Amino acid sequence: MVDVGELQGVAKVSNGRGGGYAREGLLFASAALMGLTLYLIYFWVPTELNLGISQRIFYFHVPLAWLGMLSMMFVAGASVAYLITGKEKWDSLAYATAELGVLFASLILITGVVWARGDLGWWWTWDAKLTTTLILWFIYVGYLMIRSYAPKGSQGARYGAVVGLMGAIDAPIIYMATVWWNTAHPELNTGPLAEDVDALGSGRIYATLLISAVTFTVLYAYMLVERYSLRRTEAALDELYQSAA
Amino acid sequence: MSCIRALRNRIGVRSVVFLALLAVVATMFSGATETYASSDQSDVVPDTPMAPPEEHEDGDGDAELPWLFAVFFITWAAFFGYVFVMSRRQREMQREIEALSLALQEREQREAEAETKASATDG
Repeated sequence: MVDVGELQGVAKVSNGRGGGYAREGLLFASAALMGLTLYLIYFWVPTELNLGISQRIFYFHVPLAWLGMLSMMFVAGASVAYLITGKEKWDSLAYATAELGVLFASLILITGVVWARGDLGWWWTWDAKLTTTLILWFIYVGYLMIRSYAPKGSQGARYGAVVGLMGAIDAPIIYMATVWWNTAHPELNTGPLAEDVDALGSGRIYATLLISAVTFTVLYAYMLVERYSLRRTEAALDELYQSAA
Repeated sequence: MSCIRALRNRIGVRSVVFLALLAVVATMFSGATETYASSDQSDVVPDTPMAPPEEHEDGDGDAELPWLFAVFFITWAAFFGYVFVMSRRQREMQREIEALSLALQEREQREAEAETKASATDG
C-alpha cells in the first residue's frame, strides 16, 4: 500500500533537493569552464598550420570521444555491479550512462564527419576507427532499445546488463584501432600510447585540449547526476504505480 | 530583467544557463574570423602528424569556417536539447507525483468516511 510519505520522498528526489547544491555547483562550474574553454579555443590557441582553422574542432571532438568511451566503461562497470548485487541503483547508473553514451557517441560521429568533410573532402570512409565507433553507437542504441522493449523490472535490467558488458569490448578496440590498422583517422596524439609526445606541436594546443577535456568532463558529471536522479525517480514512481494498482 | 525572470520561471535556471552559454558561443563565432586573421606567423604551429600537408587545400581558412560553426552549433544544440528534454520530463514527473498524491489522499479520506459510517451503523 502506498502512502503519501513515500510520494513526498520521491517528489523530493524529483525536485532535485537530494544533493541540490552539488548539482548547481557542477552546473555553474561547467558553465564557467566552458566560457574559459571557448576563450582559449577562439582567442588563445594558435592556428595549426596544416589543418587550418577547422583544427579547432579537435578541442570538442577529442573530449567528446574520451567521454563516449568513458560512458561505455561506466555502463559495463555498473552492469557488472548490478549482476552481482542486484541493487537497482547500479541499473539506474548503467541506464543513465548509456543514454549519455548515445548523446556523446552521436556527437563524436557528427563532429568527426563534419571535420573530415571540411578538411579532407569526404564525409565517411569505412576504416577501422570510424566503423568501430559507429558500432559503439549501435551498441548504446541497442541497449536503450532493449530496455524499452524488455519487461520492466529485474528481467529487463539483466538483459541490458549483458548488452552493456558486450559493449565494453568495443571501447579498447576503438582506442587501439589506429595502432592495429592503417586508418584514415589521425594517429594517437595524446595518452600513454601516443608515439610522439610532442605530436601536438605546441604547449598551448596541449593545454587547451586538457582544459577542454576537464570542462566536458564536469559537464558530463552534471548531466550524469541529473539523469541518474531522474532515472531513480522514474523507477520509484513505477513501483508506486504498481503497488497502487 | 523581467524578461529574464519570466524566462527563468518558465524554463528553469538550468536552461537559462545553457541559453547564456549559447549566446557566448554565438559571440565567439563572430570573433573567430578576426582571431584567425590576426594570427601572426610566430603563432602558427609548424608541421604536426595530424594530416599530410598536401591534403590541406586552402591557406586562408575562410572556407573552413562554416564547418567549424556547424560543429559547435550541433554540439551545443544537442546538449541544450538533452537538458531541455530532461527538465521537461522532470516537470512531468512532478505533476504525476502531485496527481498521485492527491488521488491517494482522496482515497484515504473516502475509506475513513466509509469506516466512520460503518461504525455508526454498527453502533
